[in-house]
Amino acid sequence: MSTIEVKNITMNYGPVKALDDVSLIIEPNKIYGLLGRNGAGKTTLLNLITNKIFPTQGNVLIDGEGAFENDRALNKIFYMMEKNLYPEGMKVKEIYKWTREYYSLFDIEYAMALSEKFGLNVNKKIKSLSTGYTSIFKAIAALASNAEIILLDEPVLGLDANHRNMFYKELIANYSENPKTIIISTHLIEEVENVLEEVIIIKEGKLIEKRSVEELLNSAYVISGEADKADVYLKGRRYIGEEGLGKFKSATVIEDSSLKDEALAKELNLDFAKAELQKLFISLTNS
Amino acid sequence: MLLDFNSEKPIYLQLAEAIEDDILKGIFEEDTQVPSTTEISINLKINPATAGKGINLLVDEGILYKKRGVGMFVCNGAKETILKKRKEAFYNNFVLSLLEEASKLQISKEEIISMVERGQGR
Amino acid sequence: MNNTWKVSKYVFHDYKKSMLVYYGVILGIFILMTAAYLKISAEPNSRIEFSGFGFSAVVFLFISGLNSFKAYFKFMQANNVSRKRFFLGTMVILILMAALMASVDAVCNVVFKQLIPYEGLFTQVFKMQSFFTDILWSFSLMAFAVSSGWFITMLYYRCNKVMKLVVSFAPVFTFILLGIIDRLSMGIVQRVVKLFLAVVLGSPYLSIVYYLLCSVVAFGLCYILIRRMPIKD
Repeated sequence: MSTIEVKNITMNYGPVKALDDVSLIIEPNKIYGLLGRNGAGKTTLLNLITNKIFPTQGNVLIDGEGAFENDRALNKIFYMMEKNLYPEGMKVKEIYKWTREYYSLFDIEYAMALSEKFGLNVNKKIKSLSTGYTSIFKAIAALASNAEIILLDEPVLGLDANHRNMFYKELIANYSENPKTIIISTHLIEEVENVLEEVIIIKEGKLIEKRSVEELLNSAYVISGEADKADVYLKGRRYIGEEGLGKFKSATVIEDSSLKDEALAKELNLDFAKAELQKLFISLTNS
Repeated sequence: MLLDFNSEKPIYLQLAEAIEDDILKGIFEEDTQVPSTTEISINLKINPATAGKGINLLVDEGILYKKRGVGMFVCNGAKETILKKRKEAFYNNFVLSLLEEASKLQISKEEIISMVERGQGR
Repeated sequence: MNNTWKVSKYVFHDYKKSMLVYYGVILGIFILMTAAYLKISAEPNSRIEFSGFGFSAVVFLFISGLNSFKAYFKFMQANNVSRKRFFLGTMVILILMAALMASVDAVCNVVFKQLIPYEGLFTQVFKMQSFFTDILWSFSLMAFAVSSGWFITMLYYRCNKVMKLVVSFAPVFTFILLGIIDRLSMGIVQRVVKLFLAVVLGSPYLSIVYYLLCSVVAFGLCYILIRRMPIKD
């Protein structure tokens, strides 16, 4: 069981501030979603946690130990990077074999079983894999590593709907049977909403949100019905994500869901629904 | 088991109610095993903690119990417990508001009863 | 220690193949040499000499050094291995390879001599025979070759485009600069160089010390470079 502490991390690339004084604590055995727009700093954060790059300021602790050049601490983490760092000419099964050298708990039978499930030919060389299958092989390596902490950067990039579905199921199965810390960095928020326990939202290098999905979703709610009636309800209230089709309108009200005016809604013949994580995310990260 | 992810009702609550429904329907008989948190969470593609919350709710209410090393089972008398719970909810959600509305419209208790009989006769 | 060895294992698994090929080629050439010798020495008034394997080993190791960074570094980063451990593990295996090839070379020198008039690199330079000094000298030279190859590849990897140009031209530029200084100082540079070579190549022992020192410096520079090495493509 490992905790990651990010302490006042700032990352400057010359004049550009990729991360600005980010601090957070990753508690053990939860599934986190790391969300942010393109270029927000998600991958930078993951790279900093895993000693791939070094912060301009601040530091990262894993279980209280500095992560910098610390093999023991870093071995607790398996990082599935978007970039491929494996030798192009190596076969998938060879990479599994070598990964086991460095991650001693690597379950090679499980990796083979998953590869078969996904239709991945383990005798193929990395360079001959499609984008989707490159993601699949890396995701399998991550799941089979049995590391205490798994970081997945865009794990379903290039995967078709069937494979994405399979992936989430395998992830949940793996997590349920062997609890571990999982951080998924993704743009596919709708798909992953129910799988996440907590979200971490980065906007332009700053941490703007770190909360349980439940709490975040309870901080808003959706109201829908006839457009005129809906406008009456919405008057004086903060709302986002307005959508309309003819006489019908819906919007997400930014107000704690415990504060919703049920009586008024009944009067106006409006319906309530749960807020959507993706809509909240868009609203939070729009400039 | 189908859950409505758009519904306002929290997923874990929907899950608990769905299991209760299945128990009432006889799909899960008393003292038989129900799907594990793992199976449920994989099937519905939800976080296992959420599934666990739903299951624990039922355990707290005496509808399910845990057999160490085996899994979750339906308690004896679970059906009754559920019916009792639902009846109470029925009272709170429907009966009380019915009485409130009736009082607004000045409908007497006798009228209510005859309305009920009328409805039942259909 | 065991963990560092895992890095060495990975680096070496690549070189196993190339070393086998290398020695296969050496063996092949040796057979050709023997055949040529037998044929030619039958003729009267013929003289023939063979040499060169020592030098080819040095080149092989230099190129191996050049090859020992990018792909291995990326793989180690994928597996969250620290740069420190990658450095140690690779350095160990590179040194072992140098030692291995130096030993094989020295043995070959002795064995070849029995069959054909062969002169190893050591004998050529120092005009003497000494098995153990041969190994030591070859090792120090090969260690220097592999470490400088490694250093050069790391330097190039680390540099951005501008720096790469500077680094590439630096040796040439230094050379020209020294030539100019030499002209102006009326031959001082030449004298220094001649003195230097006399020292280094005069005595095998000084030569050994010199190459070992250079290896240490090269490895040291590698360590400095690797400490904060970023990942690039």
